[in-house]
Amino acid sequence: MIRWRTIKTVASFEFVSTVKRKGYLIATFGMPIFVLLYGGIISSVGLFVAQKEREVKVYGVVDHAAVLDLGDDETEVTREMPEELRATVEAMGQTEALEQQVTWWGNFIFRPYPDEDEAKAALLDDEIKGFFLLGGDYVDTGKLEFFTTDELDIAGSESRSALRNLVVNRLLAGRVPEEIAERVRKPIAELLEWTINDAGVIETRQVATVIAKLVVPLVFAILMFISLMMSAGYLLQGTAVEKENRVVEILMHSANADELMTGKLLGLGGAGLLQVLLWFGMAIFGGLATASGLELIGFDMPWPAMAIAVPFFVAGYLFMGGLMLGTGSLGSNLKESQQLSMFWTLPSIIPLVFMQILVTEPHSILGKILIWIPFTAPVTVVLRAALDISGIAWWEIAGSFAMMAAAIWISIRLGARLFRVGLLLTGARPKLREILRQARLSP
Amino acid sequence: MSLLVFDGIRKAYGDVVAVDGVSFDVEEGEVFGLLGPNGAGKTTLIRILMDIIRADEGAITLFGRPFAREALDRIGYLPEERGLYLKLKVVDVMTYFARLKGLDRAEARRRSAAWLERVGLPEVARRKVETLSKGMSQKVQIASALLAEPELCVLDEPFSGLDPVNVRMVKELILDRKRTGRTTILSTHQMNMVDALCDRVALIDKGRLMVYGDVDEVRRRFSRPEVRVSVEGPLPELAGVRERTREGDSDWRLLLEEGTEPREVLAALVGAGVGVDLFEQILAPMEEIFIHVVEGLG
Repeated sequence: MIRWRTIKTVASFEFVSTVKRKGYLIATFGMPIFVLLYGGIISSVGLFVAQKEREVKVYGVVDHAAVLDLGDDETEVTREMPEELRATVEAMGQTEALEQQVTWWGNFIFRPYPDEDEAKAALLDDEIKGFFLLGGDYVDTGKLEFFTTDELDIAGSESRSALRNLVVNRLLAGRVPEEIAERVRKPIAELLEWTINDAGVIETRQVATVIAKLVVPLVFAILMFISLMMSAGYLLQGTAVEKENRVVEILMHSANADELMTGKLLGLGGAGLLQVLLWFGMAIFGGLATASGLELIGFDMPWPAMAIAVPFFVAGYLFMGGLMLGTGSLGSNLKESQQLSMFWTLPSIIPLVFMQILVTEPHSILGKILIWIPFTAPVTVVLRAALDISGIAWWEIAGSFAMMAAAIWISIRLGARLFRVGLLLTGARPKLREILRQARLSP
Repeated sequence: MSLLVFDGIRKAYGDVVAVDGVSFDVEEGEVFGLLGPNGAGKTTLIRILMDIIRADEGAITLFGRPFAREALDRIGYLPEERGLYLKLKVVDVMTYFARLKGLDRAEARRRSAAWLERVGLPEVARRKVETLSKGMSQKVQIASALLAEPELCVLDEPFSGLDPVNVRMVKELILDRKRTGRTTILSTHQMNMVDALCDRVALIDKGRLMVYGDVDEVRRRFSRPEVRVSVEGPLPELAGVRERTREGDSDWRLLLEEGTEPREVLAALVGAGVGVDLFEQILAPMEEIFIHVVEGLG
């Protein structure tokens, strides 16, 4: 017989002692801080690089082919920011910051030199970063030589791109009509992209939308995976530590194995769920902060996927939790238990391993198979729903959930047997045959 | 009245029989010694009582009724394999254990504080368990087992790791329970504690009950018919005495013949006009009985 009073006591103890744990607090509040810090570091590096990029870079040109006709220093642009991205960034009020950080145009100055010797002398005097040599047969051969003292020459490709633009401009100037010259310079001045959905409705296809539609579900699925693993990990850790600290026998005379297991599942599950809600809360807050930008590019938050995520998180947690409790009790210390739990964690990372395929083809055969495997179903269902809710049938969601329910039943029964047997095992880790024998004998 | 009855308990692990048809009962208000060498089956028997493992055969009657798990709320337990949550505060661990026994949070915290006071550790309440010494930890565990004031308490090796001062304190706690009519099962290898504390004992070896009964009666049963006397003047020849050994100026150890009762010897001494300062039956200490039984000499 299960006593709810005892379960409640175990659950509240597990919940409180977990949420007060340093590791939990660091993970819960540290994860968003880590993400922000990570973003900050990346941005700082980007800013540094951008600042370096904004520095004027002077390259010499020795033009024996007389193609460029450079009288003095010449500035050339490499490329421009796409219009739709600029609009999105502006809508988010970040234009200034982005312009400061991202160099979409090059600051290249091309300085003419009459011959290689002068160019070489200027290079050795650090007046220029390098120089290009266009031979007399350049127009016939297209052959170009580049000289530099910098072996790495990180800005080299940008400088070549700028020179290319310069050469094209000068070759075309006066030789073809201006509109033709403009088309050669910008063969695709404007690209309008459209998507036609299953109902035949034509919608604008924007790169930023596509990116947002991929990134948000991806982050969503990864967050869910991390939460699932961490919550189940608490169960493993809690049980292993109790064995290690030898409190198991004291507990087991006050609560039976089922009460302990249920209490732990609820208490630690609550701690896991709280963590998920906090993370998602922060993510939603962040989403709302950038809502105007997301709205502009026509991105809708995957609310249906979020709704599906809750029951699938609980299901995934109960399934993994049952197994983790069982294996957690089999090791004689935390390290051993963690090694044993690899049996369950390895299949769980399959959706992450195949994330690229799942993201590009969410409803492919892989996505359709993974929703029927209890280890991979929660993350896969939620990912597929978040990427494209219309591509996953209701019966797939319902069927996957029913499969999870059956898997939970088996996992908890198996976990409970292993838990009962494992809690009292001491000394060296028993062999699988012995564990199975004991599990058969356990009440 | 029997508080606890083990009736034909048997438990086997595969081919190994850990407990083989053990039957005995524990009376209300007594200190009962559960003895036996390592691997004798004591822990298995205790775990069966605590419903941690199930017996293959036999029945337990607890508090006058067939065993029911709810009755365990009225039992305290200090297992031999014991520990505490190292990362938590002492008071939180004690409160948790007390709440598992059905106490509400406020009462559990109040009793935790009171019991820490009682075992001389009021200052450790807010300290993390990992900062306690072994002896402190042991006392916290004993306090945790007793703080719900259970009607029956099973203490498995409660004296291990304690210094003499704390041994005396734990002894007092056990005797205190006895004075208030509460029952204690004491499992220990320290036979002097059995002599000092236990009313009755059960000695198990290889899963079987070897000795069971009142401590004095058991000691008498395993003792040679021997008395120690201290007399004024010379010791006269006495009928029924097989052997006499001088232990001091006026102290003698007398080995009696089969069938001779000590009181007959005392009567003979008094009848002979000998001044008797001391006359006591020499009973075998429990340690001797333990070794005797375990080594198969009995």
